Formats: sequence, structure tokens, C-alpha cells
Amino acid sequence: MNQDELSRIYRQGSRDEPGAQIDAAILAAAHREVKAKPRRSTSLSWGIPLSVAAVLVLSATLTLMILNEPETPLKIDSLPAAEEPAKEQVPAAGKPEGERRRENLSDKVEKKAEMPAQPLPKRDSPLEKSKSRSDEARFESAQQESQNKAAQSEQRSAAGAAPQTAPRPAAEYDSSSQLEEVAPEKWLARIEKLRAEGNIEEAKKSLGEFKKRFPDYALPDWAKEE
Amino acid sequence: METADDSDEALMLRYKSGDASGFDILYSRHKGGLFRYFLRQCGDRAQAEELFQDVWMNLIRARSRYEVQARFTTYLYSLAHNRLMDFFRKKRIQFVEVNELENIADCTSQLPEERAAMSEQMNRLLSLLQTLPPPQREAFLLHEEAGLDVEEIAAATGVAKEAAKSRLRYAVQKLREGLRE
Repeated sequence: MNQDELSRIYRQGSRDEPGAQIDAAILAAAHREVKAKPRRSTSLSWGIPLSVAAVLVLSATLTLMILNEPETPLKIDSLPAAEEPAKEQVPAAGKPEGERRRENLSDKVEKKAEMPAQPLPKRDSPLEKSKSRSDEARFESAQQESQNKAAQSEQRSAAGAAPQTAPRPAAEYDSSSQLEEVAPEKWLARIEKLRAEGNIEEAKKSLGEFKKRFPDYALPDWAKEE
Repeated sequence: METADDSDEALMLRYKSGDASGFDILYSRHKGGLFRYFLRQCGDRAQAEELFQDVWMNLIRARSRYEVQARFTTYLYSLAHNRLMDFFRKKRIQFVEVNELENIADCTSQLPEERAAMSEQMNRLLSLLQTLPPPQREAFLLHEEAGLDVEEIAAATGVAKEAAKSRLRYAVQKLREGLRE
């Protein structure tokens, strides 16, 4: 007996059917479904417009948030931890170091457009290591010093006392020591040279500036006598 | 205007679009096979009618979502299979490859005169059908009542093609052996 024969035998008895009541109930339900108001899924009909609206609102909100974000102030990382005790040549009177530092930073941020151009301190300069020095005060004192030294240098040159071989006038050197932030060792070396050349007054003045600048610096014996 | 020669899929699409007469034709084509599919497997006429009605109501409610992804028959009997599995689960009948319905007294019409009119072979065959494991029995009924091939049986029952093929093969083999005896 093959499968076709089996199927033929089976179909002989395939007469069982549902009752008439069942037929009527199902057909009625089918017709009712069609006659009823089209049952459109509200989520389907409103889904797309709602999604679009949500995306628009979200995009607008994010855009406004970004545009209204306050500008973060520039952080000037120019005052790393001091390697030697920070001493001021022109300290701001009566304020703690931290507050002076914050004031200096805020001054830099707010007045950066107004401040005259100044050379940036070198990383290993005493100025950068000092946390409490006012840039403006330093610049003004340096300029004043420079002018004084330049005037003295001119006088010596005119008198012929200054050797022609002097690499540079003490005033220039001193001004540069403040403006260019020369290392204290070099500064002392220059002072010593001035003494050796006979420019005692200049050497004393420069040493005085040096001591104010670096009061804790270990001076050589010749400098201690001054 | 649809006719009785339209395909099942076309009739269902017309019903989806709001033409109830498409459903009428579909129903008349498939009501017998679907009813016997349930009758042969659950063993109780009232229960079979309930499951039968549930399937058609599900189809009616889902008409707006209908899409032609397979033959309509495969779609209809996949609904039927799922409903049958729900029934077995509720009755805690395991649909495994072991015959759990040994005590089904009669899975055909309960009218004695009707049974008498059937051939002896048919009666024998229906009795043998009850001895088959439910998965094999279902595969045979899907093939005979719904006209599904192996691939469609696999799709309707959610099994691999090879599984559907072996179920049908074993069912036919056992029925043939039983009728030979």
C-alpha cells in the first residue's frame, strides 16, 4: 500500500463538519468586523507624527542648550607648584597668596585684551615659579629699572669708564633679568663681574634688587658683605 | 468582483480591504479540513468546535494585519497549530513523540449510523491514527486535511523541515503497517 492509497482511504471518512450554528456565528462575526468602524490602530495613525514631533522637540532643546551654554573661562596653567619659596618683589599688600593668585588669574582673563603685550615667562624662570607676583607691577618696575640702568650706562659710556668689552650694560642685564627672567646664578655672576670691573655702585644696586627678589637665596661670601 | 476561482490569498486580501464575501468563500473552502484537524487530535467534538471557532475569530480580528507571506493554508493552520498547543498546555498534555492520547474513544462523528456507513478500512485507519504520537498524527492531518507539503508542515508547526519530514514518514509507515495487519 502506498501513500496515495492511504490518502484515498482516509478521505473516505472525511465527512465530519462543524455544526450549522457554528458556521452562522463565524460568518456573522466576519461580516460585523467589516461593517464596524475601521479599527485603525491609534498608535499606528499617530505614531509617525508623534515621533517626528518628539525628534523635533528634542533637537531644538539640545540646540538651545548648546547655544546657551556659558563659556568656561580660560584656565591659565602658568603657575605650577613652586620649587622654592615664593617671594614677591612687589607683593599685593595684605592678601594671602592663594587669593592673590586667583586675582591674578582672573585679571589675566578679564583684562587680557587691555593688557599690553608682555613676554610670557619662561618655564624655568623665577617669575613662573613665584606664585604671588603681579605681572603688571613686575613689568612696570622692570621698565623703570631698565630706564635707570640705561641712563647710567649712557653716562658711563660717555665718560669712557665702561670698558668697550662689557658685554652689555648692567641696566640692560638687570632689566632683562626681570623681563627675560635670567637665572639667579647668572644674575649673581653679572653682579660679580660689575664689581670686578669697578662698577661698585651698580653692583650694589643690582645686588639689592637680587636680594629683594631672592631673599632666601644662598649668597656667596662676597655678596653677603654687601 | 471576486469569484470562487480566486486564490485563497486574493480572497483574504479582499476581506482585508472590507469585502466580507471573500471571507465567506474562504470559510466554505477550509472549514471541513480545519474542523477535522481539531477533531482527530483532541478527541471531543465540543472541544474541537471551540478550538475551531477560536481560530476563525483570531483570523477575523487579524484581517487588517494580513500580508501574503506564504500560502493562506499555511497561515490558517499555523494559527490552528498554535491554538492546539495552547489547548494541550492547558490540559497538561505533552506534545511529544509518545502517544499520550491512548484513551480517546472516538475521534470521528459520534453518530453510530455515520460510523457504520464508513468503510471498515476507514474505521481502522481512524483508530490507528489515535495510536500515533501527537506530532506524527498532526503531520499526517496537515498533509491530508490541509494539503500541506513537508516544507509547509514545518512552517506551520515551527519545526525544521527534516523533523516534519520524519514525522510524516513515520506516521504513514505506521498507518500502512497497521492497515496491512
